[in-house]
Amino acid sequence: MAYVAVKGGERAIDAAHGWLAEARRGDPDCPDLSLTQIEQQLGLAVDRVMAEGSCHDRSLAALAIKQARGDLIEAAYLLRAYRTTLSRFGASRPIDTDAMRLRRRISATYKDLPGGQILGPTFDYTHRLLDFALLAGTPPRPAPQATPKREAAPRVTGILAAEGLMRPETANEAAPADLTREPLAFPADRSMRLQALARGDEGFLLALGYSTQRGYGNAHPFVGELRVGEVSIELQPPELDFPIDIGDITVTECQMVNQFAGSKTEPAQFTRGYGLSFGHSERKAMAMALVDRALRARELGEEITAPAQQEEFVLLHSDNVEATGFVEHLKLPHYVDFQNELEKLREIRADALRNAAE
Amino acid sequence: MTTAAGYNFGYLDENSKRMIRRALLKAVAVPGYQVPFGSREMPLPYGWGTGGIQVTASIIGPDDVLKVIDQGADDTTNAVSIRRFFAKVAGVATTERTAEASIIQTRHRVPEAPLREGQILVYQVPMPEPMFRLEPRLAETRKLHALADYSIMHIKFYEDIARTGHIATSYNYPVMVDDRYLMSPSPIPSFDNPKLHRMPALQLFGAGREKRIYAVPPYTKVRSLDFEDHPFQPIRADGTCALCGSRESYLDEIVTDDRGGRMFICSDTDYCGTRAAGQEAAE
Amino acid sequence: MSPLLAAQGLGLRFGTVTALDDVAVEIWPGEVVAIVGESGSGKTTLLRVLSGMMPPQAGRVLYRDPEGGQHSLFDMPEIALRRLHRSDWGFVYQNPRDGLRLGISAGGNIGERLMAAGHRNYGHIRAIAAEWLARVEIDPGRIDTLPRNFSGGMQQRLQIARTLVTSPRLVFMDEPTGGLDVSVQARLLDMIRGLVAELDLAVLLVTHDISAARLLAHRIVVMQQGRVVEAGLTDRVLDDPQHPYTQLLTTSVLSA
Repeated sequence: MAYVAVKGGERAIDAAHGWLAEARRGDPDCPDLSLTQIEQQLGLAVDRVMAEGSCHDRSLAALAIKQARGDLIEAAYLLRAYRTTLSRFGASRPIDTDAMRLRRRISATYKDLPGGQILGPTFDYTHRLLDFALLAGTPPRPAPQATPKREAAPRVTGILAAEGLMRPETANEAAPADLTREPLAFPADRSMRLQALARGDEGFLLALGYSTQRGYGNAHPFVGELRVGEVSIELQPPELDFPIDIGDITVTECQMVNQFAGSKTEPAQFTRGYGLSFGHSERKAMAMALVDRALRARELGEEITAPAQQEEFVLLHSDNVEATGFVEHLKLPHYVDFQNELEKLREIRADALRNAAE
Repeated sequence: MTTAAGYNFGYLDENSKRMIRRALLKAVAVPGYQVPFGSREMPLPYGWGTGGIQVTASIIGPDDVLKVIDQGADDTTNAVSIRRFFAKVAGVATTERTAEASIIQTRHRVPEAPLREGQILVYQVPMPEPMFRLEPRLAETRKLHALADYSIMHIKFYEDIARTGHIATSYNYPVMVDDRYLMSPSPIPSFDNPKLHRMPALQLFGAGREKRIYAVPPYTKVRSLDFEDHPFQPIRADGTCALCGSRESYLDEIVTDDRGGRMFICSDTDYCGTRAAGQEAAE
Repeated sequence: MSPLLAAQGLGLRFGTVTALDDVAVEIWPGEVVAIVGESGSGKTTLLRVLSGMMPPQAGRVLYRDPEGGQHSLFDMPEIALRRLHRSDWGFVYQNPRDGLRLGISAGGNIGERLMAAGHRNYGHIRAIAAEWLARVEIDPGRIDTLPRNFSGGMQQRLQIARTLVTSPRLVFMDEPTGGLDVSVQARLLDMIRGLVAELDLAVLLVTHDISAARLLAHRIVVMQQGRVVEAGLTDRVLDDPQHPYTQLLTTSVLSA
């Protein structure tokens, strides 16, 4: 029978979408997942999607997770695409993490310090044994309560700076360039680097941060301070001459204190790595701080030997929405190019075989 | 003594323990040499002491008395977590008294009180390779150890002195063991390095994530790397413990306010408490 | 007494290209042997094989250790070969960046072989490094400078100092003046000649520069397309070349 060209692409796509919707829903006899359930009980997934989607909205992130069937990069992508549709009407003032209502605050550099070590709701000291009691769905026992001490919690980096031990950051009064509006240019300044890292893939940054600890790039880091809690967002609209508080968000902030640089002319000091992320995302904030420090190699005059120190390598591959787009695009038809390759390869091989025979 | 239902004594299955003990024997036979072993996933994360835990789990018996410290203290969160873990899966007696323990698992400190023959000190090690910052490739450092070629470490010390007049390493200060292998003593402060030399107790080192074990048998020569004309100097804060008055022990700095106020207390809580109790009794 | 290094019947092909074809070379203590030829002659490949970096497909290389024991180079374990490169042998790369630690100071670079050999006195190591910097005509005041801030000629001289500081018995040099200005080349060659004589080194030198060979080498080996076409005392070969290719090489020098 003669070959007939394939048709019906649109019908096939519609059918695929129909099947996807059914797969997403799963067994119709089991209850449909509510957005509240996702937002409340899978909160850390929501936090990650907001960070990588670069958009703070818990219920939208929950919707994206549901629509993406739990694929968090797909969900971040949905949120990013939605973000593009939103009009921007202003910029908030910088958030003041000094004034954070602390839920968790630890420092690895001091045993005790003003403000104390507040453990907060953390996995850190649990034993990783599967808890089958969770199957039963029994409500947890109420956790012990206490009145929070309203004690000042000065920054660890501030304590070190007071002794002159922290290398000071160069103040920059210029308005920062906006990564979501302009493309990255190299060399990138610190503000652009931090923006890129904040929305970067947690797994990628985790691996890079890990590599710096294992000798690929050389600053031994300490967690100077890790803070999780609520900060206020303030906006000063042009019509008013005072800022207004438009709401609270939870953020995680990590300041890493690193091995001292120093030379014959400059005294040794500690250097900083900084990480900040939406929600309760310690791994992300810490990895970001490690990579931030590694990328400062150039301005600190350190030898650039490791992948985590290479600005273009890190920043151009950290956006998982871009990455997944390009990696997965390989599934698109490439058969025209491939046909070209086929013919070229046949030609070269024919030549080589002919020459060998001579 | 009861153990948690469903778990083998010490959590690990017997074959895993046997495998680890074989690695330990090799390690003791070649002091300071890193022996690879098949590290298992544990309920505490990699980086939080799984190497030390696997070593302890492989050597602990029902008659052992276990002490666990982190930064020298028994009540730091991770020490508590590990001690509870062994209480649950091995049901052994635990103690905070260094003198009463048969096994001491430690992170980042050597106890102030000298250890005896028959005691075992198990160190938690994050990065077993002493040269990893200078040469991260494992294939390469294996060759350097085989050649006993530690010049990159000496070069690093040379550069430190040329740049600042001092060797810049403070904790995790590399040592030569038995005049043959360069070893990382784990991130203990350099102040503790001299304690490793000819220690009467057995010293075992476990790195779970990096999957290596090494050991220093009792009474082994352990010498911190240095130059003849820039000899090794242990570093300690110049202070007195506010609780027991010690001027010899390693001190923790406590920040008391944000105007530069600070005080010092012994990092080794058992040492400090014993001294303070002794002073009270004397009064 | 056998040669420090002796190679017989060396053969090596890269695909259809013959890099070495039945090559034999010897080198005795204290002598400088130059291997000359144009690019593609196989001289660099020969150097790599003789220094143990690349195994031949035919033939063997015999090395004599300081105690007189004979070893087949490619039957030695890798560890032994590395040890050799650290102690008895030296290698000067054409591009000094390949033979230096660019992130380590000049003093540290020279001190490395000393520290590998067991020197443990910082002041003493630094003094020797300063002395060697002067010897290779680098200002000793730059002992703490990183070599990446040196000119190409200075980097090359630093590489030479770093390699010769522990007086290895045999030094391999791959186009040591390649890539340098003509004016710099002459001084470098003079310096090498002085050091070689002073330290009584054996040197196996690869070069396309006939005049460098004439200045430095006692014996010369001429290669063309992977074969040794002529070999002998430098003066004899260059003044009275027998093989047409050697004749061509020497006349092109004279006319240059």
